[in-house]
Amino acid sequence: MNLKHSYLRIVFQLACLTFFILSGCTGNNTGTNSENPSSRSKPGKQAEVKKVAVIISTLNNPWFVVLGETARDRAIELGYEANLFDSQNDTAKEAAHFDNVIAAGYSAILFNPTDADGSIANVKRATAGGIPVFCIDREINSTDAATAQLLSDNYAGCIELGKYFVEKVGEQGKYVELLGLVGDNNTWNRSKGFHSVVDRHEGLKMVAQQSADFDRNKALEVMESVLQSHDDLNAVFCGNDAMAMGAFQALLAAGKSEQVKVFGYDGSEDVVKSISEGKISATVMQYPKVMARTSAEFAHEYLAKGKRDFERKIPVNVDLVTRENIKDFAGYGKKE
Amino acid sequence: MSHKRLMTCILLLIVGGIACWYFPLFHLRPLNAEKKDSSGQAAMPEKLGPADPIIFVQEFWDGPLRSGAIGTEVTQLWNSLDADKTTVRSLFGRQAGLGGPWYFCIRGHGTVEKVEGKLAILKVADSSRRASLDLGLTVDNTIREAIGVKASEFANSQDLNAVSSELNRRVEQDVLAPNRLRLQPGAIVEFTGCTKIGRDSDFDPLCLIPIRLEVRSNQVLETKSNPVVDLGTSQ
Repeated sequence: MNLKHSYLRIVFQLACLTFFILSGCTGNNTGTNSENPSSRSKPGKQAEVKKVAVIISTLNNPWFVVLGETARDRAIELGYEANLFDSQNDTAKEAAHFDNVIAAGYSAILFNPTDADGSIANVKRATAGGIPVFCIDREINSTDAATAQLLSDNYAGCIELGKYFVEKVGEQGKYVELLGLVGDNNTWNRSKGFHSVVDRHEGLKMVAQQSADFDRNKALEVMESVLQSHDDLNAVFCGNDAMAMGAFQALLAAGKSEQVKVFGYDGSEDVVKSISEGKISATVMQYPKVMARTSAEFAHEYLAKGKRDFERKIPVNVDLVTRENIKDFAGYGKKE
Repeated sequence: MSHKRLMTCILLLIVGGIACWYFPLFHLRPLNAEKKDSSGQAAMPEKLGPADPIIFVQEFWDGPLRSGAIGTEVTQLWNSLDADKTTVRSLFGRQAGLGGPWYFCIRGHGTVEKVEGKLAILKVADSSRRASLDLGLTVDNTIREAIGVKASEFANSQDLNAVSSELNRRVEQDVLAPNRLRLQPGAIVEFTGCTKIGRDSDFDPLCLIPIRLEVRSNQVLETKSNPVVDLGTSQ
């Protein structure tokens, strides 16, 4: 009797085990990794609104706030539920956002990366899970990770800025360069574009080159420090407008705002206003609204219209903004 | 008692089985599933190998440029411009991305009329129009965009920009330096050049960055790749 009882127990346990294994061999429809974004809604929930995530490197800079909010708003206009995530320039936070977005069943990601190399894995994870990723403004160093990348032509912009710099500062002088995040390609594309022109003039000497991480407060501190050892500067070239405003603040406090010409990059509202007031010499207008809107429209084309043949990297035109043409521009774009 | 217990076990087995079928505790997939079955992945562009900027430029220099197989004939461009201003950009030029100027690669021949500062002004053959060759510093992306280098060919935009630097260096070193002093009034020039067009007025006169020059003077042909001694009046 006991033997029969044990036999039945073993059969029962084997049957359970078989069920567990067989259940793991069901079709591909239930696995997250193979879920098709165009059919993410479950049967019976066809009317469910698809979700688009907008993951931005930092919302501590007004320029990126405009970028993120414009992308989010355009996605909402196109009929999606859209949410904005702030990576706070931290790759770990960015990775956590991707985990959450993938787990929460988002259909597309509009992505402003934190690090050109460090963000590739996040993008690959999302695309492997069936979620298209459209990079905006900042680049990842890959042509097979993101679905498309919309990138300002920073090198060309800083060539034009460099030409204007030589025109205004002259062929003799001393200047400082404030770099952005050293892990970001934009930092180096801007710097190299600028130097491709300015370095052709031997009389223009760069006396300091330091990173201020695209941050206004850091730029203020760096500029204060530089001014202690260099009081004969003619100009400062900043890799973005936030740093230009920080540098200008330091120069103002040191009583050198008339002596030192400040050049920025981005086309933010405060710098455009400062150019019209003669405080900042020039900036380069990136078009964050154009990039953001286009990325949302690309996501819509992908999700709703089935478009797949996106150009992998798409440069976006930029324009030099100076006192001479300031009437054509407003913050973050041309006057409408 | 035993029968009741057996029924309970069978019932539990059925309920557990149904639960596991719909909510599997794990999912078995072949090791190469991602490679074989891409239906679930977001559509990805085809991967390209990273292009080396120096090699890229060398291949262009030794290939299409040397054979002269690039560029639109300048008179054809102007004739098309006269016929239909609206289509000439998309017909012969290219835009680098979203918005901005158009870039053209153009070839032709003419006679140097005069040299003004860093510009050599040419009277173009078979046309009443003029084109100028920019003999100054070469610093921007005009050549790269005009010859059709695509950003998508490079994983890193710094490499793409290095192509511009290398093209500009080659132009200054191989095209402008050996020919600058020879471009004197009266010299006959065969040229291929690149230009950036922002407004319609940029078409006439065209201002070109030369990427290939053959300068003839007193029936003597001189090229960088096939130099001969100049017996004429030019220096």
